[in-house]
Amino acid sequence: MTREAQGTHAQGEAPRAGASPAARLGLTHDILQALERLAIPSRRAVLGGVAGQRRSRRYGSSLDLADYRAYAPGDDIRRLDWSAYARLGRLFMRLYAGEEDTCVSLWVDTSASMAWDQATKERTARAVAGALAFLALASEDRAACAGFSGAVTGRLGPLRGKLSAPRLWAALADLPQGGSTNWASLAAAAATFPTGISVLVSDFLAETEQLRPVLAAHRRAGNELVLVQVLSPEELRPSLSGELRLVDSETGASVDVTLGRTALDAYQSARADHARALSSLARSYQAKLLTVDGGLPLRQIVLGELVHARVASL
Amino acid sequence: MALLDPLAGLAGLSLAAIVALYFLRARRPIHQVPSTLWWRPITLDRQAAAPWQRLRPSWLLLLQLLAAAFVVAALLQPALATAQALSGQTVVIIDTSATMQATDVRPTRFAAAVADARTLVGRLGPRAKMTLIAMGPSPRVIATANGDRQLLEEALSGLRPSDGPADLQDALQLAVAAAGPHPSATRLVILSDGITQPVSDPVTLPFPVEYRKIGVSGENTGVTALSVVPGVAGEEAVAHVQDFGQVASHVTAEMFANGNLTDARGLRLSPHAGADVGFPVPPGTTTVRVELVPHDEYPLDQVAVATAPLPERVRILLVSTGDLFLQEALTLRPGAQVVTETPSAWRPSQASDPAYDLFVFEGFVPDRLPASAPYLVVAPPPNRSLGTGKALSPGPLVPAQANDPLLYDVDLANVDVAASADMAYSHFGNVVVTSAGGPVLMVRPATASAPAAALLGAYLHDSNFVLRSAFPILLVHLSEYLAPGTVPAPNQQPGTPVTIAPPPGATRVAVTVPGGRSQVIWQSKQTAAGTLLFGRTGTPGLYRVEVTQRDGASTSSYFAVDVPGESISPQPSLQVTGTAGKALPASSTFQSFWPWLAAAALALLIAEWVVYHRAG
Repeated sequence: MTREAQGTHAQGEAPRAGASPAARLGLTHDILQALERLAIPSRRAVLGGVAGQRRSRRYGSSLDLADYRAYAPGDDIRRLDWSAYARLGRLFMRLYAGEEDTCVSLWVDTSASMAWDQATKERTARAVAGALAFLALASEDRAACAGFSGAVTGRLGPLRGKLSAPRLWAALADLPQGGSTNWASLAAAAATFPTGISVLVSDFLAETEQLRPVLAAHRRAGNELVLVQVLSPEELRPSLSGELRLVDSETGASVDVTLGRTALDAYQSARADHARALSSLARSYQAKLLTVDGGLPLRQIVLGELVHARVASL
Repeated sequence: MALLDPLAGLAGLSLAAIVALYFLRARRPIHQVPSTLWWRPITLDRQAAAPWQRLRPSWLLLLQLLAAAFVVAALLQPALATAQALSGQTVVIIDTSATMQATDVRPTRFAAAVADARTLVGRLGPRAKMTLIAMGPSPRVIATANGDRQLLEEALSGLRPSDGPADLQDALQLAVAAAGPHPSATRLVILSDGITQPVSDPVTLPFPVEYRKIGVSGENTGVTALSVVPGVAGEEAVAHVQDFGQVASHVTAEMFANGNLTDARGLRLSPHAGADVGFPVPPGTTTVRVELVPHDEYPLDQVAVATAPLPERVRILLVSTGDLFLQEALTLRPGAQVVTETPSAWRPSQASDPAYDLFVFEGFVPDRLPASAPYLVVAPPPNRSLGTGKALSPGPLVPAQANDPLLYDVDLANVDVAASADMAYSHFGNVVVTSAGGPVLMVRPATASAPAAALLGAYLHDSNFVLRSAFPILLVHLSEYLAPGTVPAPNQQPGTPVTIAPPPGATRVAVTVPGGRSQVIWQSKQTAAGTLLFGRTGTPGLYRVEVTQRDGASTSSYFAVDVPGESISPQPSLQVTGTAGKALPASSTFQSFWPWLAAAALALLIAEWVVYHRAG
């Protein structure tokens, strides 16, 4: 691990200008050290491209013997299991299970809604993506990242090896921010990275029917899905009151509300309904869903919430 | 016309908001929220109680609505599509390997790749150039830095798929050569299913690369091996059938002897499973063919042919203290019959015994080496005639020459030899494997007065050499070098050159390829044929080698060329990266005229301001 990874900033503080990429995302030395012991679990065998640590659906060249058969004259002796002869005194042909890597694609929402409330959600989203990118690279998988808002931007990767982590962190920190979310562009970009695990980090503030094509496109591309929903403390527990005109940060649409206890209860009910619909949508696409309070310390989110939701595991 | 940002249409809500402003009496403090999604139920509740007012006709409202409409139109970014041409040089690698004949993409993957290439030709700009490379077993340039679309089209029309593998490494070298000294103006597009011969290391190229994956399905069941072996009641054809797909397959393996159907077996194979199936070979059969029906999307590997006569017998006498690995490695050569005896049982008269085609001495050198039959000496003790000295520690083994055919597929990287005969001062022959301590393997070809011979210095019991897969491969190569058969091992892959070694006295050698066309590859009554190389093995099927002797008698031998069964699952990526940036510009670009709409909106706002102040 590079020493530059030791920089830190507390949640809610703006990253220091000129700081290292890890520090800009708030990834401290101890968080990265802890991440090295974790991996992103995959439910199924992968069809990657480069040797890695995951079981492949192809016969390949790993040391895991998938199958064997008796040698017959005329067989290709390059695939002869000569060491088996040394042990058993019989000749077998090797059929190996490939161990290949997978590609963890990180799609980070950079729309205007993420920058609301002092950009708490945006910083957390980028930091979570940075942590998962490091997790993938440290597990000998590939990692790629992109931002999405009106269009998919800042695409980088896939990259391999822990030494590539600073490049990914810098790309995540530099993703352009603002605009309104164009879910169609995210769906269209689903197959641009190699097949593997797609991690979507967003507030998912949209009707589930808008999100359905996005999840369908990523599944069609052969990816497993992980949805990380980042919400700000103010969204989870609004402190507004009185008669207000609420303006949507992305669409500019406004609604007039008179806020009291009843109205706030209705808000919480609408949020719970949306959470249930999102959860049901995630289940229907076999996606893991995790909702994160952006106000929590990053260490607790990365090493607590992600592990608890089995987005990362030992 | 297209809308570059159709979601910006949501901004059309602003028109309704403007109208609503004229309905509403109350003016509330504005507070921005990330989304109004969770607030909407509340506003619905409140709307019933909202105090509305009647909408009255107003120039201001009209102008504001018009201005907002133009702003929304500008946000939608309406644009006219225009084609974007290719500039600079584009190098296109078109995969012509066997798996590109798969029909999971209609009509074939190969046809789809050629159609893609044609589209790229159509996008060539005025001074742009294109180089086309066909990636088969031997990649070749079919059009060099050409801007003439007709010539490029003709080159593509003349392209045919091969039955061999795709050599990506060589194709990339051609692409780099085509880029010349100005790679910055070059882009590379690879049209392939990604099933290529392995690239030794991940390749980084000095220009942008785009890999366009051709193919969608990996479902394939094929014959991976077919050979004729001695059975309990005569000869038996044994085929290995493998399912490479994700779903179970049900096929029938049909056996043909001399072209006539003699047997058929049904096979149910689980995903990734394989099965051996044996058929009796009727007496008098010269060729056997096994075919799987019904055909799948890659029928090329569903047919395999083999020669029914057993391979030519090669009789080997191994004089050894009893190294089982050495004995087993020698038997791996098809047709090899290995007889062993101890050094103490060796009699000098055996050196001229015509019963053996090859002698192998391990840890022992006879006083008189064979004068007519080839021989291999392994781990020799100090010997003056061989030029070998005492044992030394040789260090890591390395090939003496790059691409030595004797070392094909022989990986010496993990071989550790603790002791080897000192051959530093030996003039035995050409060095094949060397080390810091001197040569470890030497060979010498046959001459008019001496047979071919080889000298392997490594002490097998003081090394892990015998445990490595390099060992049997090297031994088979050495055996074939020292005592070559007339034709190579029965089963060859398309495009692989084969060596033909006619016996002494041959005056004419002809090869009949599948389809019946015969070709004389050597003819002379004065000189010996030596070893001949025949490279036109691109077509799968049975090849007949006819050798005519000086007295006019002729003998025929056969070898088969089969497309090996393999997975046809298209690969999501290649181990090739280029410089940053897109290899190809988008197929079309859009010219937006939103600034004009924005200007109109501005003009309307000025008009609204004027009306407001005059009215005020």
